[in-house]
Formats: sequence, structure tokens, C-alpha cells
Amino acid sequence: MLERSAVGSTRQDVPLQRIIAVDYDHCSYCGACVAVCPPDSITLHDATLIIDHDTCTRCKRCIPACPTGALSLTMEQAA
Amino acid sequence: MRREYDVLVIGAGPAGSIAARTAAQAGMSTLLIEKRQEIGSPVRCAEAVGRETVETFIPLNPKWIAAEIDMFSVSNPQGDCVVLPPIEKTLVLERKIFDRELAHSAADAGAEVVVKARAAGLCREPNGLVNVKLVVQGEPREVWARVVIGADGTESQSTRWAGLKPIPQMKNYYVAAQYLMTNVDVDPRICQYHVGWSLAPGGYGWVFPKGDRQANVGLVIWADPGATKTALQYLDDFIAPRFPNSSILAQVVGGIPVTNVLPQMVADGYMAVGDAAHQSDPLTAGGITNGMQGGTFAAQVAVDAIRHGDTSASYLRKYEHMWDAAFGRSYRRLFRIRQAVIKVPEEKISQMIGQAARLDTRKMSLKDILAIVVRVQPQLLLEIAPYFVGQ
Repeated sequence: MLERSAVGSTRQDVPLQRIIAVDYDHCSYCGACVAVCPPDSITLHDATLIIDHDTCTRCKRCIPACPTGALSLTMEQAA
Repeated sequence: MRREYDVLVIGAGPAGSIAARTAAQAGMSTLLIEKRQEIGSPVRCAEAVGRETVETFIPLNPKWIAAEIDMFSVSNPQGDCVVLPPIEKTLVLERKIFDRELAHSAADAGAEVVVKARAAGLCREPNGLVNVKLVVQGEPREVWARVVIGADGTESQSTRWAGLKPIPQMKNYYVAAQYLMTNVDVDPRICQYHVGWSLAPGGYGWVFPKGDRQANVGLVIWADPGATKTALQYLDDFIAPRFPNSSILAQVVGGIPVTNVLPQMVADGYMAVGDAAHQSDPLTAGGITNGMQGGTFAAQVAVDAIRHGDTSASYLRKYEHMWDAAFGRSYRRLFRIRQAVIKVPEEKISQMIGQAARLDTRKMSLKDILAIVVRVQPQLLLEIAPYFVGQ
């Protein structure tokens, strides 16, 4: 699932990766995304939403399940 | 906190608290854990319940009753409005206080209640006890229970650990957004429903008065993968023309599966209740008292199972049978109705509401109203019927 591209990368040795990103300014920690995630990659702790990018399949079901539009598929540099 | 309990309940919402109370009342050592630091907060609900139904679980108390409702109304986007008597007298709750009161009643019955405690995994051991890994105030802990009741809501992880959780189809998943609004000029004794694809695609909007010129104003939409607007944006568009002078005191969002209940609600030493078991009404997504009934049934069976020394899935399955006897038929019907209704074109539903709005419906049953609408506009029935055939 990795999209390998150096375009836009700030460090040439680290490839860009498509990931589901959380906009924490919009997230209300309601857990609506958790229930629709097939591989159980999203966990809701006290007031934190954590996405496991290793198990996430980028199926994007969580995006329309979010009432506030806090989730999106974006290109980011892999950690 | 002890090392071993008869019953461990995960989640102190209405379903979990009633389960814990029922188990504790039967003399079971019971632990009720809540991951949040405060029971009942944040609220994730439109807060309407049937008065008589809720009264079977807890004596009515004015401190958690925000409003008493006499009538319901259903409106289309054109502004036609049908006013109907409710099937049951309805209350709008103050869930923050209600939930805390239920947890209090569980504690009163002898259950141990612990907040800021979340479950981090469970595993049934060969001796029949379920080992539950907890994180309490950030510290890892371990307890053992004969039966674990998962009441951990829509985002339930315990159902996944027990291997019971199917992933809902997107069309059977409601995304909800609600504001608690003030300076709202609505009839304080009428719960309003608003339907229309443009307003709330695949779902509906509501205005539930809470007294003191306050109201829960919200909507549910289906989780549409092609959606261009979020539920919150639909809500903003809904309130803008209707409540231009009102202020927002609180925002509530969430997701609700309307799939009908999980095909399996029990595993060895484990039972799921409430939203964790998808026990919300598959048409309206109302779930407070249904979850409480699920919690009651589950705890009753857990108590029996512990007394019989058999907490296997095959014994606990009695809970599924109790649920099915009480809700099975009506839930299957409501599920089929929703599958049909979402396919009926918006203008047909609008026409029906427009037609019914001309009648004096305040003392009529829904059946009478439908009968008259069909008599006045028989072609509507012919147009709508095909959507229901085969459902």
C-alpha cells in the first residue's frame, strides 16, 4: 500500500506514505470511527485517538464515519 | 479493588450500570469500571425515553427529567408538519445526572464502581475464569471474573477481543451530530422529527425540548463514502434558518450502528450489552432503555450461570434467547422498514407528510393516518409499495 514518491519530501531518504491523519482540532473523541474499522487499527483512550498505521489498510471507511470531518487520507513522511 | 469478582462490567452507561446493579442485587461480587473520569460525561445521546419503560428500571426523579413530552411531530423540508400522539408518554432526560444516578444505584446494591479505569484485554483461562487486563489511573492492573459483561459502547473493544464484532455496513451506520441549544422557541411538550434526504440523508433530524427554552437539536445521517458534507455541517445547515437567535451550549457527536443486534452476543465467560451489542433500535437508533433491558437480561443469566457453575457460551446463550423473545421480531421488522424507507424518493415521503398535515391528527394513531392518506392519494401507496416488497 505504500505510495513511494520523493516529490514534496523534505528528506530524500524517507519516502512519503499515504496515511489516515487525525485533525485533533476537529476530533471530539467520540469513537464513531472505531466501530467501522475492520482491522481494529483505531483506539480511543481517555482523550486521545490513536491510529496504528502499520495495521491500517487505508480502506477509508473511517472518513465518512467521522461526524466532524477530522479524518483524512494524506501524504506524510513515514516515521 | 479485589483480585477476583463474580461479575466484571466494562462501561458505566445505562446498560452497564443496570447490569452491575442486577448482579450485585443477586449477591454477586461485582466490579463496574468506567474509562472516563466522570460517569455520564460527555453526553452522547438525544436523551428521549419512554416514561413507563424507564420507570421499570428506576423510580422517576425530577432531578434527571428535563422535559415531559405529550406529542410528536414529523415535518418535511417544505414545512408541512404532522402532529401525533406518542406510542408511549416520553421524557427527555438529563443524561449526565441520570447516568450517575444509575451508577449510584449499582454501588448502593453493593457493586464496586471505579472510574478512569479501562480494560486493555481479556482472555478466558482453562479454569473458566476470565483474566482482564486493566489500566486504572494509568497503572496496569489485573483482575479475574467469572463473567465479563461488555458495555463499552459503540467503540467497544471487548466485543472484538471476544471475537463477536462484525463491522457494520456503511449504509447501516448512523453518524450523529447534536447541539444543546438555548433561547430556542419551540413548544416545550412536542418532540419534533424532520425528514428529508437534503436535510439528513438516510437519517432524520430532531428537536427535543429540554425545558427552560433549551433543546437538543440534532440529526443522524448514513455514513456515505461519497459524502461532501460532514454530519456537523448538515447540522449547521439545519439550525441556521430555524434557530437564528439561539446559542449553542454543547456539541455532541458520535456513531450508531443500526444493523440489528450482533448475530452472537455471548462467548465463553463473556456477554455484550447496549451499544457494544448494537442494541439500538434499528430504525430510530434510540438505545437507552433497550440497552438497559439488555443489561438486565445479561446480568440475570450471568447470575444463573455462576450459580450453576457453568459460564460457557452455551449456557450464556440463554441471554440471546431472552433478548430475541423480547425484541427479536420488532427489531427485524424495524430493520426491514429502514431498508425500505431509505429507498423511497424524498418527494413521495414529503407528499405523504403534506397530505397528513391537512388532517387533525392529534388524536389519531399512525395506522389511522396512513389509512386516510392512502384513501386520499391511492397512487402514493402504489408508488411506495414496491420499495417494501421483498423487504
